[in-house]
Order: sequence, then structure tokens, then C-alpha cells
Amino acid sequence: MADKTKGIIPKYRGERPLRLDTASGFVVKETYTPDDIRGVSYAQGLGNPGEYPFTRGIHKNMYRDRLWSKRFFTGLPTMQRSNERFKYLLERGETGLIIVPDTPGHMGIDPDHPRVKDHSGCTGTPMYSVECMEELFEGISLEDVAVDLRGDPTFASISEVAQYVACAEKRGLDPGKLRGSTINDSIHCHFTMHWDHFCNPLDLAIKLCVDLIEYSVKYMSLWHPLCVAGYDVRELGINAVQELAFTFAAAIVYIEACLKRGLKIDEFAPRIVFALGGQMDFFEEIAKLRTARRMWAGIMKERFGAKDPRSLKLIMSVKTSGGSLTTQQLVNNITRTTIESLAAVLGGVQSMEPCGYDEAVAEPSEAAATVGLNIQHIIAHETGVVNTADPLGGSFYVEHLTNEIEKETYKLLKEIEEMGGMVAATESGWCQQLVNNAFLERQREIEEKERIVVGVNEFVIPKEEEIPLPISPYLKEEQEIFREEIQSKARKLRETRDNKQVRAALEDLRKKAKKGEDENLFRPMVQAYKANATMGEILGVVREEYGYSYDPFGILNYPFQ
Amino acid sequence: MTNRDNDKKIRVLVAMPGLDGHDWGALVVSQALRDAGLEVIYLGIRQMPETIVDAAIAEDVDAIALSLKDSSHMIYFPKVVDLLREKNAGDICVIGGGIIPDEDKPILEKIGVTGNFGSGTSLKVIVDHVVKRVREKKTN
Repeated sequence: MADKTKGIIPKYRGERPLRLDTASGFVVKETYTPDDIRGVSYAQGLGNPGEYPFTRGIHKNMYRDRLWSKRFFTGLPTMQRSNERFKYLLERGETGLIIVPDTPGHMGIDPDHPRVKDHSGCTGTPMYSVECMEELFEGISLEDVAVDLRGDPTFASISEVAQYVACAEKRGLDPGKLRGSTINDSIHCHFTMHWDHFCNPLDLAIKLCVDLIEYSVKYMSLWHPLCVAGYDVRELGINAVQELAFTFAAAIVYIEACLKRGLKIDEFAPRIVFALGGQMDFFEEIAKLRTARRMWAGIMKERFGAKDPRSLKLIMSVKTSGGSLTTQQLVNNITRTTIESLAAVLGGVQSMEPCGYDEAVAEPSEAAATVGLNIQHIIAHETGVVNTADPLGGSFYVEHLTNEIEKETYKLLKEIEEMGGMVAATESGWCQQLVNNAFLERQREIEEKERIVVGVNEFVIPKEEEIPLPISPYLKEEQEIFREEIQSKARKLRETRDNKQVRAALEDLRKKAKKGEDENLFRPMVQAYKANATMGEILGVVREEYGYSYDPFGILNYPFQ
Repeated sequence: MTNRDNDKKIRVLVAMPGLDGHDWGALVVSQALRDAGLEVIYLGIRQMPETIVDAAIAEDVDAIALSLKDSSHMIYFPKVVDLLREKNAGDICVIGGGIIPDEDKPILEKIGVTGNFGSGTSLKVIVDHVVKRVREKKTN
């Protein structure tokens, strides 16, 4: 009951922070001073931007010379709609495209496979043949765009690049002119999305990862063939230290596999990217990115003996966290994404991709894509933060966090190495257990209100009072029509193509695959795509030669017995 | 509301039909159900409706909890309901969850798939719903 002399009392009067630690559990003091960063010299621990150990940035002038690549992901259910969205985004200021394959595409399975036919266009765009690429990039100049082909598992990555190169060559383009990137990192898929032994056996995945890196080093110098992904694991609730340790440990697996193949460290290290998450703890995320650069420089130099300065500079991209967004009060997601984007820029990334405010509820709308790009335009042109490199360098708090994250990450990395490395840690189930526990703990914290999420467990408002934002319409009937169409498209391709040529190309791929692990299969895959083989056929042949079933589900057989 | 009010433990089968491998919601809900005293049989991902229904009958569960995030729920959830009816196991409740657009919820409710909770739903709300649904079925 309001006191009539005083009126209503603020509900949150005397409000204080609920927690006094960072999102990763580092205790935060009331203030930081030079004493907290004593012992790390500027020259050795920081360096100027563009100088070893690159803590402050990999380029001297950072964004003064060139802004980060502004992106927003595309992965609409049909190739045509994704093509239209590409054109829309390029108009609105996107400087790098991203395309996400649908679930069957991630798993290396064709859309007309009986088990997956209801999943075409789910959470991404079908990409199973060179025809798909042609439709996807119709009217877009492949020499002038950078394209991130976002299939996580190696199988999907190498398949997509082969399709892309096949498409480019059919247009008369040299693969050396193509700019882009692929994740090509299968390890984390085993415990984040369960794309594991079922469709993504690690021995074969790592071999194909090296194939793509090896080919790209020789023939596609503008391509980033490996973007080690910390993003997905971080989304499941692990902390910044674990994110970095997992990413470095996975990178080390691929680097060692490349060295075993006979590649020299300075040939491929400059082309590796880290694809990290962008979470809500503002200063911790900035520090995390600085730590990553310093650690990479040290590991490349000391452990792998890299000499080329470009090998020591870690290129990073950040996708802001989808897991930090809420289905309640979508407008708050714009605020969250903005904060996360700003942290990424202050952390000195080379490419950035904010989430759509509708990421938790629908396929990305044009409105959400425009907002995502505008966040980046506003940061770039209205805030002044881009005018100097590493503006938070020297902050006692940020330098302290950078040091602490580095210390803990090296500790965890050592633990993983002592287990036998990231492959052993994955196959033993240790990573899965850690991730499961982190996810459950995060949920428990929110449920028990030990961590506040605005609109979910505090500051909740009735649904009817939420500010409505444009969401893509739920095109259920269109989606059903499309699923029928894509299957008949795939069937028609099989019927109308020159099956003699397809068979010859697949048999050539098979012959090369029989030669052993070191035989690079990328070029034979490109030739098979040009002959109109499908992804399922190409990957199926390779699987067979490595002792796996042609079809992960065990239903289909190689069609050209 | 917990299971402790009854002598016999409520048994729930948790599964993800189709291809979707994002089983985190299912994991969290399973834990919450267990914490509340229910018995959970976690069937996992990439399940066919036939396997889910056969397991539910074999395990003599009271409810099946299905989770999907890749928009294929309108294909799989009704299939499970149909199969239960075909096999005379229509007394097993079906509860849905994941990313379910609002417009599909009344359609699902009409065929007997209730709940359909999205991310951010309080686990207590989900557990209470499961218990309530099973009790209602038992008293009918």
C-alpha cells in the first residue's frame, strides 16, 4: 500500500549487482591498480599493435586502414531465397557473405535420402550439387565477394568448397581468385551437435581437413581453409577459459596433422582463423580476444617454430552469442547483440557477425539482418572506437583479465594435452561431460535466480506488453512444397545427367582414395561435382574407402556397382 | 508439484525424433524431471517415431516428452500420436517442447500433444505440467 505522503517506492531501490565475478568465475575486485598488472612488461607482454606478441592487435593501424568484415548469416530454406538475401545484404553494407547449409548438408546426406527428406531446408540451405551453388550465387560476382561456407564438420566443409570451386571454374574463374573461408573443424561437432561417429568419423574428418588446407595453400591463397570454432561449444555454457583451451587444443590437432602431411608451418598457419563466441561479460570478452592473440603468437613461435610474422598473427572472427538471447522481449536481444558486437570490435576482430534479434524464434528476417548490419555501421561510424588500435590497452582491469585468462587457459590446455590431446579428450567423453555439466549448471543458475537474465527471471513483463518486432512469417505450406521440389530436383539431376561421366568421376575419386591417407581428394571431388555427382555420392565413396558404410544410415548403396 | 505425492513413480521417455542433434533442452528437462522424483528413460537423438513408441510401450512409461528445434515437429509429433493409437497405447501422454511456433501449438494440443515449451520456460513449469498431465490421464 503506497504511503500517501511519500507515494510509490521504487521496486528496485538500493539495487546492487547479484554477482561480483566474471561470467567465467574470475572474482572481480572493487578496483584495479598498476599493482595488479606488475610483472608483465609492455614490450614482452603487450607489444604495439602489429608487433609480437600482437596482444594489442595484428595490424599497426587496425581499423584505420580497414574495418572488420561486416557479416550477417544467411541460411534460408531455398537456394533462391538465400540468393535474394545475399543481394539484399550486400546492398545494406555486408562485406562478407555467410551461407549455412541445412541439417542434411551438414551431415553429408542428399535431400532425397529417405531418412532426411523431411529436413531439407531446416535451419539452412540445401547444398548437395554444383547446381545448388549456381543457383545460390546467381548474379553475384565470385571474384568480388568473400564467402564463408559455414558447414562445421569437415565433410560438409570440403564438400561445399569443392562445389563452390566447381561452380567458379564453370564460370571460367581460377580458384586462386576466390576469397572465403570454411570452418573445417569436426572435433567440436562430436560433443555440441552430435555429428559424431555416425556421420563424421574423426580419422576421416581430420584427413579431409588436411586435404582442404593442403589444396588451398597451393591453389587458393585467398582462402581461409580452417576456422577453428570455439563458438558452438561456448554457446553450451562453458566459460571463456574453456572456450580458448578447447579451440587451441583442436587447432593443435589440425596443425600437427598438416605437419605430418609434410606441409611447413609457415605455409598454412597464416591462413588459420579462430571463430569465437561473443558473450555478455563485456570486459572479459575483450580480454579473451587479446589473450587469444598473445597465446597464438607464443605457441606458433615457441612450439611450432614459425618464422613468418604472418604465422604469428591470429585472425579472429566473432559471432555474437545466440544462447544469450531470449524468446521473451525480443527487443532486448538488439541491446545484447550490440554490447557483444562492441566488445568484439574493442577486442580487435577481423570479421564479425551479430545474431538476429529473432534468432531464438524464427528464420532470420530482413529486418533482423538490417538491424545486425546497422549495429556494425553505427559502431564503425558513430562511436569513434575504431580510430585507434586497442583503445582499452593499459586498462588495469582489462590487462589483469587478459593475464588471468591466459594463465588459466594454459593450465587447462596442459590438462587436455596430458589426456592425449583433443581427440582423446573427445573420444573418452571428457569433453561431452564437461559441456553437459556446464549447460546444466547454467540452467540451474537461471532457474534458481543465481544469475539474472532480464525478461526471463527478473524484470519480466506480460507477453501482451512486449514491443512487437517483425518476424519472418512461418511458411509452413511453402516449406512442404519446397521439400517436395528439392527431392524431385535431386531425382531429376540423377536421371538427366550423363551417368557415364558421373560414374567415371566417382571411380576416379575412389581410385585416388584407395591410394592412402596422404592422397589429396579435393581435386577429384571438384571433378565429380562438375560431372553432376551429388554430395552423398562423393562423400559416400570416400567413406567406403575408409571402411565406413556408404550411407551413415546404412539404407542406400553406391548406385554405380 | 512433485512425484512424491504418489507411491508409483511417474515414468517419462525423453526422445528427439528426426535428425536434430541439439539435445540440450531435452537434457535439462530430463534432469529436472529426475530431480523432481520422476523416472526418466532418455532415448536420445535421431530416433524414428516407431522406435520411440516401441520403447515407450516396452518401458511402460506414462508419458513421452519430445523435443525438436529444426521445425520438423509438425511431421514427427503427430506421427508419434498416430502410432500410439495404432498400437493401443493412447493412454501414454505426449508432451512437446523445443522451438514450436505459436500457431502450431493449438493444432498440436488438439491432437493431444501439450506443453510445447520453448527455451526460457521455467523448469518448474515444465515438470508441473508433466505431472499434472499424467495424473489427469490416470484419473480419467
